[in-house]
Amino acid sequence: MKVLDPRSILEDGVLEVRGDGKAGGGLVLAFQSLASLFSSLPNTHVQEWPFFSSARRGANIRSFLRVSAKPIDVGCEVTRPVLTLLMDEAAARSADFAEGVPHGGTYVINTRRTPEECAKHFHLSGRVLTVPGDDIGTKHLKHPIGNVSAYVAMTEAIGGLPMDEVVGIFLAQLKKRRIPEALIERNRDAMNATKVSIQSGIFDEARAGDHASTRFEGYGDLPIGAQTRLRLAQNNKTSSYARSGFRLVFADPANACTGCSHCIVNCPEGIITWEPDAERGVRVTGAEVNTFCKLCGECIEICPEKLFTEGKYEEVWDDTHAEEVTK
Amino acid sequence: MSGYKETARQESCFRPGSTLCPGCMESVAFQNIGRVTDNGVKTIFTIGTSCAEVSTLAFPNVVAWGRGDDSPDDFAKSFSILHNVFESAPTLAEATRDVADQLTSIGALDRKIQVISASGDGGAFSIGLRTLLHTIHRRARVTIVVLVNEIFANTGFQYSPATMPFADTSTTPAEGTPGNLNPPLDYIHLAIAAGAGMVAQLSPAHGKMFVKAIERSLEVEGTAVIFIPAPCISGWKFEDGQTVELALLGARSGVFPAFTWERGKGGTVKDCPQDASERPNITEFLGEQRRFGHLVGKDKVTGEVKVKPGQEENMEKLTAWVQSNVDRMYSLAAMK
Repeated sequence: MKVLDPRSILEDGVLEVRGDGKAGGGLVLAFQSLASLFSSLPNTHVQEWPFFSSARRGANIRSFLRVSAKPIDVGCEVTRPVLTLLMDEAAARSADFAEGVPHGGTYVINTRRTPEECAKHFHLSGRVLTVPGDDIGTKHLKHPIGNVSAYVAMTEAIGGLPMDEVVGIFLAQLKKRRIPEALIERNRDAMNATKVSIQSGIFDEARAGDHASTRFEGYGDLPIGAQTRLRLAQNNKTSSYARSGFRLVFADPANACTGCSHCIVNCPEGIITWEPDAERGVRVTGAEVNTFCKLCGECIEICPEKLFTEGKYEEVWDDTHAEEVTK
Repeated sequence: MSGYKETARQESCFRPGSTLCPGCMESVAFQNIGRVTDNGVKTIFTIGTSCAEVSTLAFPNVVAWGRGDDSPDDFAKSFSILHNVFESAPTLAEATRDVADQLTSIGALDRKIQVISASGDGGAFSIGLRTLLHTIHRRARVTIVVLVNEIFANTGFQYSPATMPFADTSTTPAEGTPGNLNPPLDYIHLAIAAGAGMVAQLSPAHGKMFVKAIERSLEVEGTAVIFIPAPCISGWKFEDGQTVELALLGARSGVFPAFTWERGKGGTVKDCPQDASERPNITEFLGEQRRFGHLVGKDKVTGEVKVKPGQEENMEKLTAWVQSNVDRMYSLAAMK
């Protein structure tokens, strides 16, 4: 396997980049900053656009970027990126972030795990960079947002970009979005902290046929109104909109539910389960967390007995959504 | 039917699977409208383009609406959805009612139907004010539901005629100016003046009242108009899990008081005293939302909300607007 160097591709032809994440996770900002960074360089042509559907916060989104030393004369979606980013591990449940990446491509993943674990899990062949972006975000920005770190890791993956420029361009983007001055400074710290947290390695774990891009065979049977698979979460199980790594937990060991029905009435998804009760009218028994719970937290706030809580859900890699909720 | 707990046990035709934001009030409103309309009468919804339409009717995946595995032959359980563009939901509802009445008069339809039109505040007050007023004026026997989130949330949080003064939106940015400078449209008064049979402003946070108002709206003479204040988690920019709390706080502090009114009977303002000292301070409502971040700041340690330096004058203006809003509601309630 020959590792493809993004830097030399950029100089010889068109470097194609793709990112997968969730709406509200900062993917757009990261890609816009990358585009802005490259367009500040002499003799560089840049093309960048985010792609999302009518689905709202928490839904899968994609971003595309093309960079070249020569004028770019294509304008379609990037289907065979040499460099790809996974901003949110949970986003990989609904879309294959490595689809169409050639052997020897570069994968940047925002995760706590090591490059080796990621390569094995996702079956990746090429250079894998990981960065614990959410932890860095929590530490420096008091918010588990990984776009700052993902952006730095992307520049690292391409290589040859001066750190001062990298930081300056990102902060300028934040300023444009009217982010308070104090918060912008904290972003600077987060970026510097990222630099030392990036891990990388070269692996060859892809089996034959893994991540093969589907051939385009015309629009044929595409139903009216459908634009892309990204339009909907997988099987429209909107529980994948929930914040990654957390799940709603219902516990009523003392049988304290008063039957007030506030959670049933105020659940936006209507997924609170209950059974008839002679005394109280209804007795709440839980919620269908694995299918449609977006973890909006209304029931947590509204329950007078505090029966709902937010539990850590470590197994974001578990496709079966097993009920392994750890407190 | 009645009671809050009984309604909670009804089946709703609005089901999980919508692509609305987590904690969207529009979703809560639809859940409960769905529960109330599960009353043995066929319901026809007409929905104009809005978040509520775009996120629940994405063809071919309309899983957000349905009655489970019930046979579609069960007329009483069945419901239909007619979709049209932004401004057309009330007109379409009116037309549906007219057609149903015609069919009944020639004996082709022997069962009752109920018609509910739903649109957003941008669609109803900005693009579609004309059709909204026209339908009300024609006294069509329909229920018009307007989901008021005070912005064009579907297209990117632009200003709408219902936007609160000093709110930061993408077209009235709090940059150089203190946000939106237009006082909002007096839509409740407009609906009454146009001839509505019933007008209400209630969010599902006032559960019992909301359910009662929807039930009543299906029975009254003339057009019933229900404005549903819908805190928008992405546009108002607040933390998870505060939707219901903000809807209550907004109603209690006088921004959108809980209001019901019926022609000939007059109305009431509930849960929002006219005397400002008896209401929660408006800053409590503002402090939770980042769209007012230029006006007030929340102390991270004590949680106290303080007016930002230099914004005292704007805050005074806003407080005066809230008081005038509450006074106006009381004077509208006194009308017969």
